[in-house]
Amino acid sequence: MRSPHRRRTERRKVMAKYVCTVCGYVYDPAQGDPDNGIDPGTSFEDLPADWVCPLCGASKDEFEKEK
Amino acid sequence: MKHYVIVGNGAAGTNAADQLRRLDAEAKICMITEEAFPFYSRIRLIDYIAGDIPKEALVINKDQWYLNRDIELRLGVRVASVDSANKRVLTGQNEAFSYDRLLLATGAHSFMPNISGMEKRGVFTLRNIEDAEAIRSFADSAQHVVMIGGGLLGLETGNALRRLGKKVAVVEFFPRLLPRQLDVPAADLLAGTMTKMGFSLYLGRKTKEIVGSNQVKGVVLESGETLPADMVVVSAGVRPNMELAASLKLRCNKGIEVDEGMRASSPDIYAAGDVAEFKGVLYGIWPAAMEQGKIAGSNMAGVNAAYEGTTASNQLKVAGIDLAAAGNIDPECASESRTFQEDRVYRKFVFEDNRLVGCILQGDTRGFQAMLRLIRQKQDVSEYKDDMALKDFDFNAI
Repeated sequence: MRSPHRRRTERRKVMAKYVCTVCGYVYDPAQGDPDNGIDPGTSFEDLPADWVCPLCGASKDEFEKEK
Repeated sequence: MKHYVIVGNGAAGTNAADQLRRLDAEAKICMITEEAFPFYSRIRLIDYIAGDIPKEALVINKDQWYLNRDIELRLGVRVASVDSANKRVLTGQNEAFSYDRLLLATGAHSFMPNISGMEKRGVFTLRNIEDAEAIRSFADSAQHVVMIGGGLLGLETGNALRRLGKKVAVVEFFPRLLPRQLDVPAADLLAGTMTKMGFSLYLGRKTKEIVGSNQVKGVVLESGETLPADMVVVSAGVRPNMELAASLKLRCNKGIEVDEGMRASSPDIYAAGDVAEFKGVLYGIWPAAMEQGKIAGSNMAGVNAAYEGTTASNQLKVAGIDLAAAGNIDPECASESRTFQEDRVYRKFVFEDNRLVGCILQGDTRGFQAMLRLIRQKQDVSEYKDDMALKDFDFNAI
């Protein structure tokens, strides 16, 4: 009985939006970043390490989870 | 079918082009720039200088971005003049582009203060990819670097060079670092940290002269000290690129004056980004350029949109130093504020009429986005004011 519950919390965590602290762009996993080959449904964690903010070029570590 | 011409391919021009295409699927959109690269990140030039990323990684919008949107991008082309009577833009090669609406997003250039010796070999400014390449290749043979200007760009560039193994000295005319972003306690804390990292700081000093025969040998201060230097980087702010605006006789002050729709003083001409002045303010920051570009694009496409200003916000991107500041940071301590200070952490919150109008977060920048939202929303925070000075206050709780 534990696993469905766990999957649900993981899913919620995985689909969190992230905000670029430099320019304010919001990465929304539901939309992805098609211009840069990121399919909709890709979580922020699953973005490649060299992915950058499509609006200002900031690196992944400049993003904060949206509250 | 409408023709839109955008001069400049920075944050403002690019966001305007994107917005124009969203609102007008048919229009011909042409961007003209003197730069050799498509839209790239000026913010990351320091990462390129430090060797963290290759030059190609600076480019934000690859060719596909322009193809997907059917936006024509002309690189390496200088706009020589605008014939507003016939609504044509003329390039240095005498090519003509007709427009229905024109956006001037020409950006800004590094300000060169009037210091003797500025023309010597080894003196640099940092504004574009070419500048960054020049700094990076010259740095190979340099040992002692003097940064003239202790603002954000000066400190970040200085840090990139320090990481390459250079001895870096910073000369700042103000008696404290980051005079626009920090008050005295915050700047003192930063100065202490940077000194420990190996920077030599010369605060409240004015540069008198850059000396050397052809090649830089040192920097002489008005206080009489001479700092050894084989390389000098001047970061003394920027000035808008106003040549086209002047020839068009647009109403200008420090920048091109625009209304809330980003319209300049002549019909069908708009301005956005570092070249635009809105209500007396030259923003000079990336988020403002993005927002202004978007607003300009909307209005050019005939969809009303009004710019309401951007909350000034900056972060110092130096590894090991967490520092963010936004809004009015009340450097003279003239407003109501709350502060917290302990070890290497300093926080300051500035209030007007029970609303948060500015903050400094140093040593721990968690909650900065929440603070920015509070400043923008102009929410009454009277019940939280005193708690905000507490060590463990949860800023996301407001």
